[in-house]
Amino acid sequence: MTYPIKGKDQVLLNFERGTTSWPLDSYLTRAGYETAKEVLTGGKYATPADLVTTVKDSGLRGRGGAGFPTGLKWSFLPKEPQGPIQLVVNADESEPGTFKDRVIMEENPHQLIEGCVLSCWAIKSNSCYIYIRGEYVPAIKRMTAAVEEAYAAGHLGEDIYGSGFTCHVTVHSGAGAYICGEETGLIESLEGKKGQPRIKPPFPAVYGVFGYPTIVNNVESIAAVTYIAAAGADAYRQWGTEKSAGTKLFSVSGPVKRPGVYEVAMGYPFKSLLENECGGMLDGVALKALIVGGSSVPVVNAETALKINMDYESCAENDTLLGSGGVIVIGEGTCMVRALMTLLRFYHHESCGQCTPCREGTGWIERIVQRIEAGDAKPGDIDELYRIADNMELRTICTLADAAAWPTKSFIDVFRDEFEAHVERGGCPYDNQFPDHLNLRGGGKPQRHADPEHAFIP
Amino acid sequence: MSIDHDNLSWSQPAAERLEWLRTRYPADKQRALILPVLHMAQREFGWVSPQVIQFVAAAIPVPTIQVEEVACFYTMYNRKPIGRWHLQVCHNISCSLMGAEIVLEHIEGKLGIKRGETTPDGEFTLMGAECLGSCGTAPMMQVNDHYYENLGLSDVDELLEKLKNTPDITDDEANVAFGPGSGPSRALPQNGPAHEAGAGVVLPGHAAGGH
Repeated sequence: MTYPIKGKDQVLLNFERGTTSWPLDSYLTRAGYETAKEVLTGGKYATPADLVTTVKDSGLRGRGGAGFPTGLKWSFLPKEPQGPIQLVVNADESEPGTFKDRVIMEENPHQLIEGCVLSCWAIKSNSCYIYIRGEYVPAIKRMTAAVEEAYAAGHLGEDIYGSGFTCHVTVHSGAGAYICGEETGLIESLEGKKGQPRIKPPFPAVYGVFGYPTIVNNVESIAAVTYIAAAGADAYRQWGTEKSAGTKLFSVSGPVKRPGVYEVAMGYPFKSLLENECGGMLDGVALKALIVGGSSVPVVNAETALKINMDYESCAENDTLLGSGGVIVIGEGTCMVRALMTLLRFYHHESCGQCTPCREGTGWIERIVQRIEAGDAKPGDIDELYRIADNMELRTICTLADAAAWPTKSFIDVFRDEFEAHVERGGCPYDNQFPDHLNLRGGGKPQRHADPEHAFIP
Repeated sequence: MSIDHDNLSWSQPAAERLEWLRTRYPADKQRALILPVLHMAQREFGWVSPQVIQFVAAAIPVPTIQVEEVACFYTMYNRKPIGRWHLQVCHNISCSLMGAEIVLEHIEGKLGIKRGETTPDGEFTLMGAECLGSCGTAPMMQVNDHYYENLGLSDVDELLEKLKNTPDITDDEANVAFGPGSGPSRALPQNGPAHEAGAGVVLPGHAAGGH
């Protein structure tokens, strides 16, 4: 099936990339805050519940990785909430391979803020925190400046547009912890604690930040709410598939000609994304494997990768997950054991230490993979690795252990021969060498300034 | 620039920002200030010493242990003094696919230190970092608050040379007001719109109580 590219840059990146798209003035030329005005004062929706229904009908699913329906999440708020309802925007984008929310915050921050106002109105909240990972200094600065602009222009604050509705938005910075992307870890962190996830239930909708009913949504989800509230559920559903509605941002990295963030309709084939948007693989590099949705999802080989459409159903059919949309393309010449070793170092480092299977397991499997890569593997190490990963799954408070286990198991499932070659050969068949296409030694490689703001100018 | 950690006090913009921060979280949930105030303190005082932890705890105020455990948990709080330039080379999956380890090894050789160490002259601290969300422009490194992307080895050489010859930029109000970020505010010269986002708008620290 050839899938039309319609939906490209319609919802979230509806401006010319590389231009000064982030100030309020620019946003106003894109009908900025008109929806908020209509909804708050013009009766576009008779009641907040109607907007919740519209978001439900749109089929929008949480864009952070889990894909839980956003409108349904909102409806879990208690009818008689104990304390003021809080909206928390999860901008702790830390899933390796994922850099899409950064683009919204840096290039289209007001659409996120308008989404916050609309979402707050829908869930009857007056208070929103945007929790941004601490390393994202440019995004923090942009969002902070945009929030100030919105306050100054009356799009945030008390009695917005004379509607009587109040919405306060506060930008809050994380401090370097992957686990704070987990929603209850984020809530703990926002409260000023270690970001250790909570046991659920109670779910945040009942007992969230500061003990108040709380909705935690991803940046991309909230930014999409702005479009959905404006254009309606059907308009959003014109793109995508039955179970994967609308458009999605995909952040593509690895040895492709034009890595970067692209908005396309859900269901867009990976092959088209690779060939059209990304310009194909770097010259002389063949596709070896694909991690389609951020480092936590199972890896697939090249053959499977080319069958995948970028939606939840197709990923599931191909034994992987759409995840966060962090598309990591792996080229021939890459040692998969080394790649897994890199991933496991990360999960070991980021385990919060609460649950034994994760705290001990992530380190254990990392050490085994290090052994295999170094050529010191013991007989049975591959099976041992698989067994431990299997035992980490579904035995912890949050999914970090699963996020380490899934790639581990899939790397072995898909590339077992490579693991075995390491063991048999007593070392890395690639001799610990990097792929030939990394032309870094002596002289650097051509600069690709995908984003001129980050151009190399000391 | 040497700061006496036995005798700490906020700069005026930081003191104002602290008061503004108090208004952004529920009055009985001021523990939420720990992360933002620690960020601010690190920027003001260079690193998070035991004295800084006590100072922050007293300023909020919360029990010292609550600040201590936050400072221990998050990687962005430096519990030791760091070099003038904090080089964090991402070596997670996407960057390593594009040669991050080569970049790291190159810098190690160039500076004569291993990752995690600081040069004897206090100029550079080198660290391997986990995914910094710059995967499409790999390999990359963060230098203090700034991202340098699409690095080739000659770029790295050029950058290190320029950093050595770049004088400190003293704390400016904008940096304090923006608060978050790693390391003292020794930002590189402003080099692009992303870094000028705050120019011309009311900074939060200067709008205390204005909302």
